[in-house]
Amino acid sequence: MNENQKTNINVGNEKIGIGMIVSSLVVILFTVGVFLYQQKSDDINEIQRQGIVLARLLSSNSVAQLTGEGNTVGMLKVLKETQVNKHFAYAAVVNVEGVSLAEYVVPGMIVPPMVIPLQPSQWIGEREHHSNTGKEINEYFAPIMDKGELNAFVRLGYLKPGYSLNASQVQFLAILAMAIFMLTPIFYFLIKKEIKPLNSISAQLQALIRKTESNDAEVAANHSTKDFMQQFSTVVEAAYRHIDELEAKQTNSVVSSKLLMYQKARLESALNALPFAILVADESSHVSYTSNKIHHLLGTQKGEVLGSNLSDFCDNREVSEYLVNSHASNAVKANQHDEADIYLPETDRRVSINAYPLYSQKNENQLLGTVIVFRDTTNENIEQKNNSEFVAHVAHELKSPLNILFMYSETLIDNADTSREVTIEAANVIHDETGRISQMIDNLLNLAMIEMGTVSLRRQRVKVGELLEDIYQTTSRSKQVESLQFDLTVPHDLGVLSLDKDLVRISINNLINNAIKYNNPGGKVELIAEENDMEVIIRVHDTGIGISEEDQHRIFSKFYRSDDDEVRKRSGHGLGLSLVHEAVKLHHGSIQLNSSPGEGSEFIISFKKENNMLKDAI
Amino acid sequence: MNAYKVLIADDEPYVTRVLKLVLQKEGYDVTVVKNGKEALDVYTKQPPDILVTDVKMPHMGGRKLVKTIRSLEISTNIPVVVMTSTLESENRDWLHDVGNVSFLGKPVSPRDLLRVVNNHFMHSKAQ
Repeated sequence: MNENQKTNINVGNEKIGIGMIVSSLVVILFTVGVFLYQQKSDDINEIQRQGIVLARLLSSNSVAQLTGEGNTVGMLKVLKETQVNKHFAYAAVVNVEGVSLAEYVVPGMIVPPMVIPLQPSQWIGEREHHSNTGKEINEYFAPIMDKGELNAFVRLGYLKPGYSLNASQVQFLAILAMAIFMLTPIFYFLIKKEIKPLNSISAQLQALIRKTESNDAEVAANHSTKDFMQQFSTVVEAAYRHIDELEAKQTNSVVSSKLLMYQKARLESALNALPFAILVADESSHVSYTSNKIHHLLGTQKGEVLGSNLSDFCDNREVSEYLVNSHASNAVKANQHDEADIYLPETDRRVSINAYPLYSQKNENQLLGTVIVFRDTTNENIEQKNNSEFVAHVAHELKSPLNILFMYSETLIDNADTSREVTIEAANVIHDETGRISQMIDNLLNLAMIEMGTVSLRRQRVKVGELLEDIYQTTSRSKQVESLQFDLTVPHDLGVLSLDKDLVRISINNLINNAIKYNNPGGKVELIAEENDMEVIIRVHDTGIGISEEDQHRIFSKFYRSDDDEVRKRSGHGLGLSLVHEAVKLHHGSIQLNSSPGEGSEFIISFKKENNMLKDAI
Repeated sequence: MNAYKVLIADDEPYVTRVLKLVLQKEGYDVTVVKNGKEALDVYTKQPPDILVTDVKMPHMGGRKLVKTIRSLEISTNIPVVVMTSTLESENRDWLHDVGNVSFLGKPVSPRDLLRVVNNHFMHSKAQ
């Protein structure tokens, strides 16, 4: 027990001591009060009884007997002299006019005047009035009759009794007070002795409430109290320990529940982050967990899934059957499951589903449920399909010129000696087709490199005017341009751009080759360059067959070739424009197409000027 | 010199050019069209003695072309030579009911085509 508590207990003892003194005084005062009150009412009763009796007795005598005549002593005098009552004030006889005939009064007192009552019924009685000294007086009076006539009144006055004690009473009270005073300390020490351990208990209980240490309290008490206290201390200690344990348990439980929640949240976000959707079914085929992706994949609603049976879990019959079967087979034979590949018309997706049995860690034979993993293979399939289509397309596009080479070379072998016409025709076709194959492979490689991101632009400062002039000169020499008008319009001060010269050359060549190939005999091809503050613009304009609006949307797609007869007449592999598009994109430039069927086409390439590219970058 | 009419339907101009060249050199009257639709037009106006057709062509493919001409009233059950790539060989079943059909795998050897066409007419001549 600490100092503070000891002080509290001592203060408590002093309070008890003072309380006992005060209460013993109160008891004494109360006793005295009771005595005084009792004495006063006894006195009043005595005065009343004596007054009434004496007044009546005296009134039965004659006036002369009362007052005394001659040498006889009047009764009033006798009365006065023998009056033992200490409250006696006066005795008087008055005539009917109120005039005093005789009176005997204690010293210092004057008999007060009396109004004679008129009614006979009021002739006998008592009244209260004040004396000349201001003291209260009880007066008893009675009529003196002489031959049936009212002759006089006898009046007896007593001072109203106050609180007073007689000697014997004072003595008794003194003894009583002494006894109480002597007993008080004895009681005090006895109580103090008994109350000390109780104080200690109280302190310990308070400490218990405040959860402070106090079980080391020194208990000094009698034997039985000591035993009790020891037991009590043991109980208190046990209670403390229990409280501590409970608190520790509660803290642990709060910490572990928070930890569990955190781990659960982390696990769930990890599961949700997986590229798969996951479903866990318990041993009774009910869904106990699903990751978020499953709803997007299967078109289920989040709230409806948990707790539902595997057979009702999803609307797709094929999926439901697989889930039920795999769950059932897990229960029978471990790790036996086949992958299912299912198309879901509900969500227009394709999923690959795998089921894995979930075993208890403690008992490997105990099946806890099934984990089902859904993998969205929609894009994979599309990609696979695209890849297959691409390969088929490339194969076809390569096969066609090879077929032609085969046919013409065979024809050449069979007819070389006999027909010059066939020889020239075959040689020309073989020349053209090998060129076509070569160009196609170049385009294909360039496209592939751009798409794979392995191509890095080898930018260099290119004088665009010079580049276009070079392209123009080379193209002009080719045989295909012979029947066309081919013009170049380039301002002499056209700026310098940072470009991959080879890639831009291939792109512009592709556009010019198309403009020539899809032109009409006697048509026109123009290569025009111009510039403004922002960019350099290169236009390739032709007066050829034009491109339908429908084809314009798809013309930059890889391997796209129009079904138009005029297009089909001309050899092509659908890669040229696709490569131009990718190359311009790689330069952060733009390509635009204006065309109407039968009138011609214009491809417009814009490259930003260097300073503007810098501005953009900033 | 015979004047058998040969109708060639193929959308690949170099192919038709060389086939036409080879057949013309042998004296056949060769007409070249780019698709099934054009072939049908020519067929109804002036039925050929033999049809040489590719399978994959725009507007109307060889499969529909052959089935259509066989159902026509003017049909004379002329011989048909279908040029198919090896990839399409599995899809030749459709031609079982057509009758009088021969196949040539791609790339078509002009030499083989000439032999097949010649065989048909030698056969009919013998009859």
